[in-house]
Amino acid sequence: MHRTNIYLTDEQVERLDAAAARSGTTRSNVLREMIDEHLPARAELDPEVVAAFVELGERWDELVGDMFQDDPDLRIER
Amino acid sequence: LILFDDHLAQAVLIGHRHVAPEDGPATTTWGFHYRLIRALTDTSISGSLSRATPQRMLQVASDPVRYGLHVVDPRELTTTAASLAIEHRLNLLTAELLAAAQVHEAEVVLTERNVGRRWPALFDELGLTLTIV
Repeated sequence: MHRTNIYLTDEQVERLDAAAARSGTTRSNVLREMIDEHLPARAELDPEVVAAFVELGERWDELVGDMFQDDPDLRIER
Repeated sequence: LILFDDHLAQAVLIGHRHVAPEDGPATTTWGFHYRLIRALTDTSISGSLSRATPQRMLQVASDPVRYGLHVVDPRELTTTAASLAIEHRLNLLTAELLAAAQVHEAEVVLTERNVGRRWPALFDELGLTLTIV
């Protein structure tokens, strides 16, 4: 664990304390949960899935290039 | 902020395209994210890949933040997108893209195939940055 100091407005502290009280936890724990929710660590990818995405990227024009040309909302006007 | 198209967004998901930390998170629009999800949902596309992983690819694309890709909330762009659509006769995809770039002061990075005929002039007119890769 790292200890850090941050500046919050009075109103933010009130909301933080209210959230902590509702959950029966601490300010620090509320902040840790918010960080985990909004700034999650990058998830690991299965190499097979990565390879499939690479193949999709290499064959993009062939497979996806014209897919949306008949859709007035999503097409690229060339 | 840097906004990518659907093709480049899938490269972000697998960590093959990065942005400098000072440029903010790698981002795409809801329209381009929808196109990516729709392409992966189409079994004629995902099924033609040599590796049979369509469901797992779809899971990754459906949870983009976990894989480093953010999707701009279209709700905060609605008014700007509607104005741009009327003024410049744009479809939903283009209006949302330009509105996202304008509202978030973002650079737009697109693959050549995803650049509309009128777009470079339009970006210039609106003072927006367009990079084609």
